[in-house]
Amino acid sequence: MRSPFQARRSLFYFSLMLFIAAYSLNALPAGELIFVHPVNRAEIWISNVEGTTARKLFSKVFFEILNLSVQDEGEYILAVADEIDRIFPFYDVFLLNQRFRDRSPKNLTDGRFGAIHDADISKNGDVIFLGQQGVLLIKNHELNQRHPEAEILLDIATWDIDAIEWAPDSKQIAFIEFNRLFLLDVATKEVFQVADNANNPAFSPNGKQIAIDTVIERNPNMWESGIAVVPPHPNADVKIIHAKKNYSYGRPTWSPDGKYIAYSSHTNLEIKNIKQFRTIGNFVIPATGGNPEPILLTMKDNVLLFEWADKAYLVASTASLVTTWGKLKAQQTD
Amino acid sequence: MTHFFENSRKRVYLYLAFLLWTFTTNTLCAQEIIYQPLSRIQRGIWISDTDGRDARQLFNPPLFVYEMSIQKGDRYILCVAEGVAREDGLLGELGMDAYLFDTQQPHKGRKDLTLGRFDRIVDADISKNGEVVFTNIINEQFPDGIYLISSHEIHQPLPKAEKLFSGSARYVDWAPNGEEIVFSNPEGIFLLNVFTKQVSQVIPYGSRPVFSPNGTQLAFLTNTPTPDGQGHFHKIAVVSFPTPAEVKKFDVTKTTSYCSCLTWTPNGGSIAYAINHSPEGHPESLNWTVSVTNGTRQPIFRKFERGLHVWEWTQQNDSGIPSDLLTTTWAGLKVQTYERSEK
Repeated sequence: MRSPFQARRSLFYFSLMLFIAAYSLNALPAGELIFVHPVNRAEIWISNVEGTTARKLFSKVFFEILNLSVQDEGEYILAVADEIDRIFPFYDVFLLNQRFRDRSPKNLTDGRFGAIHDADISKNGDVIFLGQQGVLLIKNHELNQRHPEAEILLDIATWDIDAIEWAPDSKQIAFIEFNRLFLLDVATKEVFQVADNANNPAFSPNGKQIAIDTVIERNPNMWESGIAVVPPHPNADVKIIHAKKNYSYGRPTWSPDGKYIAYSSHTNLEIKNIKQFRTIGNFVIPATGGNPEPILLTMKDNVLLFEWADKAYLVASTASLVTTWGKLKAQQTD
Repeated sequence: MTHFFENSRKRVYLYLAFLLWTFTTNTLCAQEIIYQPLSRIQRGIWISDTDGRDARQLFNPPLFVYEMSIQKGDRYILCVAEGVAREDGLLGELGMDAYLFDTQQPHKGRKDLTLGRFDRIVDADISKNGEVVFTNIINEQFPDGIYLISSHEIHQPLPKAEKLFSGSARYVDWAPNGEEIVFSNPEGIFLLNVFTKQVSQVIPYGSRPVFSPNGTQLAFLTNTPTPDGQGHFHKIAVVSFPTPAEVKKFDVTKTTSYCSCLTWTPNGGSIAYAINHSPEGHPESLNWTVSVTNGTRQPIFRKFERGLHVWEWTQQNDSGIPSDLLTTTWAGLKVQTYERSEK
C-alpha cells in the first residue's frame, strides 16, 4: 500500500508536468501587445501575440493617435494624439493609466510646445517629447502638476529630429536625424552617431542592442528596408536580421525577454496570390534572425503602432491553459 | 379538499407545459425568411414571415451582407459581409469576410470566421453538418480558390481553413448530401468532392449554381449579351443532376439589372431571385419566383420596402409562397411599374 507521502509526491510531479506542458504549449512568445487599432486609430487595444484576446483598452478618448509609448514595468501609456473636439489637427502628449481606465487622459503639453511628433516614457516615469523647441523632458515628479514643467534637452536649432526613444537605464536617449541614429547622454548632453540608414529605434530590454528598420534601397516608389539590430556604440555594425526585396518594415518592438522583435511588413508589389497576401501584416522574428511568424492575426489590417507590454494589467498570463478574463471578454465581443 | 400529491402533480404538469412552451417559442417557425433589409435604419439581420409580418431583429452587426446561407435546422446563419460605418461615426470592420451567427445564442453576436486572413471572400455556404466552404479572390481580380472550415473549427478563436481547390471560383453551394459542393467560375459550373478533392465540370457556362432541396436539380444563372453588347440579360436555367440532360431556361430580365440571390423555394417547385437596381441612386431589389414546371413568374416580398437584396428561407417545408394580397402597397406599386416597363 502507498503511503500518503508517496501519493502526495506523485500528485506534485503530475502537477509539475501539467504546469510545464501548459507553458510549452504556447509556441509564440508570451506577454501582451498594446497597440493603436489599425482601423479605428482613436482606440488603444491590448492583445496576446496571436490576436485572439484582442480587446479595447481605451476608446473614444482621441480623434487620432499619432504615436504610442508604454512604460516598462509601469502602468502608464503615453499617446501623441489629437483630441476629439478640435477643428484642426493638433497633436499633444497625453498620459493614460492602465489601472484607472475610466479616468480622462492627462494632457501634458496642452499646446504649450507646438505640435508634438513623438514622445516616450522611461521606466521611472520621465517623459521626453519632440516639440517646437526640440527634445524636451518632463521629469516624473512633474506629471501630477497642472501644467508640467519641461526642460529642453536638445535644441531644434541644431538638430532636426524624427523619433526619440529612452534607453532602459534612462541615462541615454536614442534619436533619428535624417535616417541617422544618434545617442544622447542625458547628464552630459554628449551626442554620438551609432548608425546610418536607420529609423524607429527600439532599445532591447537589457539595453545592449537597438532594433531599427534600416533603409536598404531608396526606390522612388518605396524605400526598401530591413529589420536590423545594432549595439549602442559609436559607428557600430548594423546586423540585418530580416529583409526582402520590395518590402519595407516598420516600428520594431522587443519582447519583454529580449528574445523576439515584432514589426509590421509592407510591400509595393501587386498582391496576386494568398502567399503574397500573407507576407504583409504583423510578424515576430527571433532577435538573432530566423523565420518570421505572423502575429495579431485577428486585426484585419496592419497594426502600425504597437509596443510589447512586459506587465499586463487586468488580465492573467496568456500562456496558461485556463480561460482568462481577457479571453472571456474577447469571446463576448466576437 | 385537493390532495397534496394531486397539487404537486398539477404543478409538475404546469412546469412541463411552461417548459415546452419556452422551447417551442425559441425555435424558428417554418415559412419564415431571414434577411437584411436595405433600409439603413433597419440594418441588421431580421426574421419575419414572407409578408413581413412579425418582423423582428435577430442580430445587429455593423455589416452590409452580400450573401447569406442558413444551416438546415436554422442553428447557424452564415453571411459574407463587409463593415459599414458604425453609429458612433467610427469605421466598421474592413474587408469582405465570412461571419457566423448562432440563432441559439443571439447574445454572442457575430463570429468572424475569416478575420481578414483571406483577401476577399466572394461567397460562402454552410452544410447541414455545420461545415463552411467559401471562395476567395486576391486583390479583386486574381483567383485564389475554395476553402473549408470544418464544424469543429468554427468555434475556435482562429478557425483553420483547409484549401480544397486552387483556382478560379466565385459562387459555391453545398450538395444536400454534405459531401460535394458545386461552384462556378468563368469556365462554367463544376462539382468538387470535398473528401477526394476531385473536380468535374457540370456544364461549361453559368454562374451562381444552387442545388434543389432534394439534390436532383441544379439552378443557375446564364447571361445573354444585349444587342448593343454593352450588358447582359439574365436567364435562370435548370438542369438535372447528377446527369445533366436538357437545360431549361427561363427569361427573368429584359433589362441589364444585376440578378442575385438565387435560391430554391422550400418545396423545390420554383426558384426565387432578386433583380437589383438603383433608381435615383437608391438601391432596391425586386423579388420574384419562377416555376420550374411552367416558367410562370410571380412577384414575392412585395410588402418589404425596397425589396430584399439578400435573404434565405428558414426550415425546409412543403408550403409554397403566399399568394397575392388584395391590398396594394408601395412596394407592390413599384413591382407593377417594373412589370409594365418589362412589357
